[in-house]
Amino acid sequence: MTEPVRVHLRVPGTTPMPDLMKLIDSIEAAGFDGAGILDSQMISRDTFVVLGQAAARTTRLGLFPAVTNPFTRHASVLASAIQTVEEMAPGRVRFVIGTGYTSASTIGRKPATLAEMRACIAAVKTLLAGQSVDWDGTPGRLGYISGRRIPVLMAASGPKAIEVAGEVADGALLLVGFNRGIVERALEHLERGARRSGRRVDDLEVIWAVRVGTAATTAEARRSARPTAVHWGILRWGGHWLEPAGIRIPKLEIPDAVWKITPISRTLPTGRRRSRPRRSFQTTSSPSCATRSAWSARPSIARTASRR
Amino acid sequence: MTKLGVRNLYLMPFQTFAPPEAEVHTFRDVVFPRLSAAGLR
Repeated sequence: MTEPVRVHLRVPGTTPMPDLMKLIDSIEAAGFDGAGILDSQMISRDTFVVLGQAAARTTRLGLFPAVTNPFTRHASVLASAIQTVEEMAPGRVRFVIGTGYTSASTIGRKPATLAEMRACIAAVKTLLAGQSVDWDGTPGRLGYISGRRIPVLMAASGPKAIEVAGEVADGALLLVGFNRGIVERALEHLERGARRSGRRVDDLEVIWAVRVGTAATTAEARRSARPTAVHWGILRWGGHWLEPAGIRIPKLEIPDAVWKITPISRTLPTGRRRSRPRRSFQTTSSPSCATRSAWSARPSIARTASRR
Repeated sequence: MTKLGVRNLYLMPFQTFAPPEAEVHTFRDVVFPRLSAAGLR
């Protein structure tokens, strides 16, 4: 038999823990290789609590945060958390970290910079290796490492982030699109980063994020894919990965009606960004959180609706 | 895609915040058996 295809599934902690654990059970029973637990503190139950509970009731399933970030927890807390989970699921745990998306936007901040990613990944890897990290003059190490390796992967979507992942992490979770041209281009960036640290892509674990949907018919599945295709393929990364996929689209104009629903200008590339202010989203009671995302806009929308 | 070395997938269902129960059933009943038949599981 050829090398098997491993399949992991994203699990949002949006249902009560008892239901969530039944879902974890079903994922392991179905034959999945791993479960990635969403880390978005305002939307999903705590990633590491869920991972710990899942570790205690599974025997085979790989487990990882999907994905955590370097700003809602200190690097020492992240290392402690994943090391603790690993004690409950020896050899089944990965650590996956990215720049943050809704974990950032729901608390009114921007995703982490690549410099922050480098620093956090370096600190976590050092701690998990049983070595000491210098915290502004205060050295510290984990007092309870297992000695088993916990791979540290970086989630990446853009070329620079992919190269950083190849350079500093044990592997990469690539959110780029599932297309031959895209895969080849992404691997070029990953290889470029790996070379900076004297490695090759073959030295890294690479996980490919794939957007999926199931439906009774292909037409229905395509229909359900459209919002995701527009958001991820065009708006969020400016269509960067369309060219290697051989896709050309005309200049995108966002109708005013859409602006009133979701504040997406932050994600638009230069040249497609609208200059008009998004005042319609600045009516929440917490100005610092206003206009950050559709999530921050939802309370104001709900209040508007209730007044009608 | 496997010829490019793509053998490690992370499925992100379109319904980002809904439990992926449909995907669990579909992969258990349809996709995994087909992968097994192709020698990929």
